[in-house]
Amino acid sequence: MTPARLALVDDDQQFVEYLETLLKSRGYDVQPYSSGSDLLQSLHSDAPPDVVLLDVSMPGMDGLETLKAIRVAHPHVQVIMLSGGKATNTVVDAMRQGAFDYVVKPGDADGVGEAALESAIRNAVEKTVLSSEVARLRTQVGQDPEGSPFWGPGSAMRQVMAMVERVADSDVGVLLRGESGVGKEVIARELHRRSSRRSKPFVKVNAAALPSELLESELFGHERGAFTGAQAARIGKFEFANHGTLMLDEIGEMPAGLQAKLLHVLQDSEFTKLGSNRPVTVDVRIIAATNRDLDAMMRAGSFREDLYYRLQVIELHVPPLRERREEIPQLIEFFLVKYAERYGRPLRRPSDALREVLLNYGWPGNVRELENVIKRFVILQDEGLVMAELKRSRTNQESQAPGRVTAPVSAPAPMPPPEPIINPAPPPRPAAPVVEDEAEDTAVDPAVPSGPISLPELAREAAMKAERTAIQQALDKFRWNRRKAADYLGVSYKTLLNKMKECGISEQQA
Amino acid sequence: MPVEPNDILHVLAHELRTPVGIAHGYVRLLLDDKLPQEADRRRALEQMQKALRRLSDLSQETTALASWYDEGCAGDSQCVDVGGLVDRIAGAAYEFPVTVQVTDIPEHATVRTPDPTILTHALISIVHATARELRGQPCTVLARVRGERLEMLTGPDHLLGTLGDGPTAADASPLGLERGGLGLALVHAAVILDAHHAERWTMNSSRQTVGVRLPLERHP
Repeated sequence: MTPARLALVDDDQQFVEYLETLLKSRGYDVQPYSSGSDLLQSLHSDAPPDVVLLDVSMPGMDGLETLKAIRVAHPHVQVIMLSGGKATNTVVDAMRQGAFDYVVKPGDADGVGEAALESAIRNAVEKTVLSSEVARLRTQVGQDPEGSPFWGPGSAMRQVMAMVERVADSDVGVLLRGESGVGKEVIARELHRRSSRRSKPFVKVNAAALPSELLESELFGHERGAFTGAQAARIGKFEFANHGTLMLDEIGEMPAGLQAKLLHVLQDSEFTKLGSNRPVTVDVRIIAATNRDLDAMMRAGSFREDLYYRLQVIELHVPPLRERREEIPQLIEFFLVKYAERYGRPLRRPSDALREVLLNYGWPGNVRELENVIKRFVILQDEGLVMAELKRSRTNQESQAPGRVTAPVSAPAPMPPPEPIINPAPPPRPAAPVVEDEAEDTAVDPAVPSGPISLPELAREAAMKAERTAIQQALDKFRWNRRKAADYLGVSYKTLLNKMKECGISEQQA
Repeated sequence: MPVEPNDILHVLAHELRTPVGIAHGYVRLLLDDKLPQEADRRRALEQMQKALRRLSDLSQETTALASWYDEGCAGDSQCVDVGGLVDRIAGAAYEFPVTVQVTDIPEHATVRTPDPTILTHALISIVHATARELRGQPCTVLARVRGERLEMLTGPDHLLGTLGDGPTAADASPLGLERGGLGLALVHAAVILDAHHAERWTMNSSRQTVGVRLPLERHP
């Protein structure tokens, strides 16, 4: 376990040396400073310590002034004030300004003062650990867009989940392959959730989201001044994910230079930050994901073969939704309930006509696309709009890829059948489902223009319609008390008035 | 505000506590075998020796203070040339950078003191304590004769201009004596200055400027 990091601030060099010796003998990592300004300067560039031990009486910037500055710059750092005596006014001032504790400097023959100081440090460290753990869990919960995952009943996913079950609690690397939107991240989170690392961080990095230089810094961190704009040292995702799981999404997009560095980490569990020579050791499980054809990339020389074999100790192919259509009804139900609860909408199920369209649609964007469609349906409560949208998507697909109704509009080129390393080869792709035009046409909302319309325009209209409904309902609920309605809707009074004007809502109309 | 016995006891207690605590702490570390390396044990003994030296210095300062109370105030007084006094302050060795500016000191200006050496040390202690507060920022000492007094203002250059009005300025407050790590030097200086009927004050909340006014025996 990493020792707690303490900063010790006192102008009395002899006392600092003694306390440093004492605390190091107790297993702490101690960094001494001879003044408050020295500490504050270091906080600009270095990671903050877990706890600061701060002398009250110092020349120049005294302890209370330093405490104030620390609270502003690093409110989560715990500060223990040290003093020769307990002057009531100073104790009260310090506690009011957010000091964690106030301890008389050790100075007795029996070691009572030392014990009191150590107890205060232990409590402060514990608080720091708990606070960061809570923050981490909050972040993790906040980042988990799926909440509780849903696994369909289809045989294809049953095989995937059986493999997840078998490999989750091991440290081997996993390579997840599959088209965009099939649920690779959900599988990665499930692998983490079922592993012994579940209480440690799950960190996701998208290799396609950042340019090469930033991606390197994002993954490995950097020292202050490592490059233009690196004004402070920063830890990277590898360190953040230490003892946990790191998901490298879109690994096929990783630049060649970084592939070499990643390979080194996978081999030796250590790396160096940008601008540093000091190796950092980490214990991280890697789950990589891609929708690219890595085999073709290796043949073309754009993806390292040695890295590939490091990453795919276990390879899982997540099949596209069109190959597991039997899951669609349950996925629809799952997302309906999820978003009706989340957005406080009535649980209205799609009509038979819409259900038919949903079941037969090609779903080029896979589960993510289905989820978004159901989300819009729940929010807008407008079948016609959803039908029209699906029809437009289908028409676009047909016009862009004649003869392939199921081909995604923006999805990557289909991959060849995956290597049967773990999974059996995926079942042959079924015949492209054809959506019945008649069924769609009869269900088109007459409010939707039949001519061409841009998607942003459509989204604006839909949003305004949803807002109008929500505002109207809130105003009715609170008998046109606009202030209460604004609170209820989570907007300011002024925003509500503006929105009412935009949507053409007035009391006279009501 | 003269130095009260309580002030002295308060500072003395504070100054005693640290070296005693350090010595106790190292003894416990050694007795508990918490320093397995020979080099660390040796370093602990060296630090204990330093703490004891600090206690010894404090003991000597206390003795000097006691002597002053016993004899210093009652000694035969003599006139000291102000120019020479200021020269000794300017020539003293300081732990931090100090610049002394001397202006408006007429010849033949003198102060009366029972012990010129002790008076000089008191003024040097004031400069040292102020320079220590500045922690490396240059400290300026402005020495001048104003009316019937020698005025010595110490602090950072940019603040000295605000000191012109002396103790009548709105934010002036008595010179605090409870500055850790100075031993009894500042207390001792304050007692000596009080015995010379000098005024002493500090001029801003961060204690970075200190003023002293010493009555002149003779001024032209």
